[in-house]
Amino acid sequence: MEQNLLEIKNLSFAYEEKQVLKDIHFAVRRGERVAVMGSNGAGKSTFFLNLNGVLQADSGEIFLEGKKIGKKDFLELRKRVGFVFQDADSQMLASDVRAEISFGPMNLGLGRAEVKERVDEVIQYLSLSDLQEKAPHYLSGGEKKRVSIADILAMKPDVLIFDEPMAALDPVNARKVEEILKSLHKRGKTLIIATHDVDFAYRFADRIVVFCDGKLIADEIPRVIFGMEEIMQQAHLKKPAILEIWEALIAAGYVSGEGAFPLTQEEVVKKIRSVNQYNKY
Amino acid sequence: MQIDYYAYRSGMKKWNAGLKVFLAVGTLCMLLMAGCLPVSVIVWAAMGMLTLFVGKVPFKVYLRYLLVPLSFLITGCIVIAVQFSGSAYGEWNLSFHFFFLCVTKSSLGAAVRVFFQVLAGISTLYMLSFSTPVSELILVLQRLHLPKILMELMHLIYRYIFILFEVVGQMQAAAGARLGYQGFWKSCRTFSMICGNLFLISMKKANSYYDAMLARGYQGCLEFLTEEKPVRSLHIAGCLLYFAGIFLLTVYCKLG
Repeated sequence: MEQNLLEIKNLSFAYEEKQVLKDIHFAVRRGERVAVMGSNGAGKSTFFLNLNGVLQADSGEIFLEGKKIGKKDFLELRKRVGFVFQDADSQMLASDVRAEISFGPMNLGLGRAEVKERVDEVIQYLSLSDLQEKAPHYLSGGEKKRVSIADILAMKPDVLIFDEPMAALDPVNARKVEEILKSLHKRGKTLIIATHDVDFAYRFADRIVVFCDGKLIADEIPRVIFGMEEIMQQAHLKKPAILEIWEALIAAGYVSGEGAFPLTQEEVVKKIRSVNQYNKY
Repeated sequence: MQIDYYAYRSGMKKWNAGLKVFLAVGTLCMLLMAGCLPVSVIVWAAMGMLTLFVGKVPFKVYLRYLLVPLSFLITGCIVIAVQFSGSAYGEWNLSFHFFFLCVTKSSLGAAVRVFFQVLAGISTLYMLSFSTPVSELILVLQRLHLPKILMELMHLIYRYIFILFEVVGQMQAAAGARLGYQGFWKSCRTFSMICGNLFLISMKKANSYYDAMLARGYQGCLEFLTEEKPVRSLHIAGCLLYFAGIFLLTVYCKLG
C-alpha cells in the first residue's frame, strides 16, 4: 500500500480549559482531495492549525511521509503543509502583491533569485500580472483570495489546506477558485478543503471527513457519507441536490442504478439524454 | 488616507524612492538656508508642477489637500503681519481707542516671506508623499540603517491601519443603520461602544494574523522581496541642475 503523506494519530487539543479536538485519527495520501465538513465551531480550523504546525497538540502524533514530527520539526511541517486562511486579509502583510507573495519563500531561506523565480511563476500561473504592483488594501475580495492562494503556492508545499475557499465570494470568483483547485489537483498537489457546500464537496472530493464537537465522526467517500443518515443529522449536512435527484430517478425507475453516479449538472443531463435515446429505439 | 491611493498610481512611482527622498530633503534644507522670497516661490512652483504634471495628481485633489494647511498658514501669517501697540506707528494702523493694530512694511514683508517659505515646504513634502508609497519610504529608511524592529513595526502598522479603518467603517455603518447616531448622547454612547469593541476585535485579529504569519514560516524576521528601481541618470542630472539653480539664486539674493 502507498505510504500516507500526512498522518495523525490520537490528536487532542485544548484551548485553556476548552477541549476543541478529541482523539483525532486522520491520514491523507499524495494527490488526494479531501473535503472537511462540519458546522461552525466543530474544530475544523483548529485541526488545520495543528496539521500545519502552528498549534501544537496536547497529545497525539503527526507523521510526515512516515517520519514522526518531533518538537523541533514543526517548522518543517509549516514548510511542507501550506494553509490558505479563510479571511484573505489575515494573511496579507506586505504593501504590494509581489512582496506579499515573496513573504513565504523568503521565510524558507531561499536566495533572492530563487524567490523571484517562484514569485514570477506563481503570478503567471494564477494570472495575477495585472495586480502585482497593487497594494493589498486596493484589491477586491476575489483578487485577495487569489493572491492569498498565490502566497501559499509560492512556498511549494506538498499539502495545501484551504479553509472555506469559496466563502464570501461571488459565483464568478468562486468558479475561478474551483478551477484553481482543479488545476492544482491535476498538478498532483494534495488538497484538504474545509467547506459547507455539499454540492461542491460531492463533485470535487475523493473523500469527505466530518467533524462534530471536536470529534472526527466519519471518513468515507462522498456517496457513502451522504448515505449515512445519522452522521448527516449530527453534522447538520444536507444531501447534495444532484445525488438526491439521481436517487429519486433510480427509485422511480427512470434511470438504472448501475455505474458511476453523475457528479455535475452536465453529467446528469448527458446521462438522462442517453437514457431517452435508448428508450426510443 | 487618500494620499496613499494617489501615491500608488503616481506617474513618479517608477522613480527611485531614495532619489525622491534626497530631492525632498535637499530642497527643504536649501529652503531653510535661503529664506528669501524668490527661492521660496520657485521651489513652490517647481514642486507643485512636479506633483501635478509629472505625478499626475488631479488638480482638485491637490487643492483640497492644500486647503487645510493653508488655512492655518494664513491665520499664522496675519498674526505676524499685524502687531498690537499702545501708540500709532507703521505704514497702516487701526485705532481701537485703547490700542492700535499696526502693520509695518517690514512686518508685512516678513509675513509674505514666511507664507511662501512654508508653502514651498508643504509642496515639497506633498511632492514626496503623493509620489512615494509608505512601504518604499520604509525601505529608504532601512537603507539608512534605522533599527530593523522599528521598520518592521512601521510596516505592520501601515498595513493594519487600513484593516482597522475598514472595520471601523463597517461598525459605524452598522451602528448608523440601527439609528445609533440620533442625538448627541446616543452618538457618544455608540462611539464609546465602537471604541471598546474595536479593541477586542484588534486583539482577536492580532491572534489570527500571527497564526497566519507562523503558518507561512515566520521566524521572527519580516522580509520581503524588494525590487530596486534603478536611479536614472536623467533624474540625477535634473536634480543636480535644480539644486545648482536654487543655490545660485540664493547667492544672488544674499548678495543683492
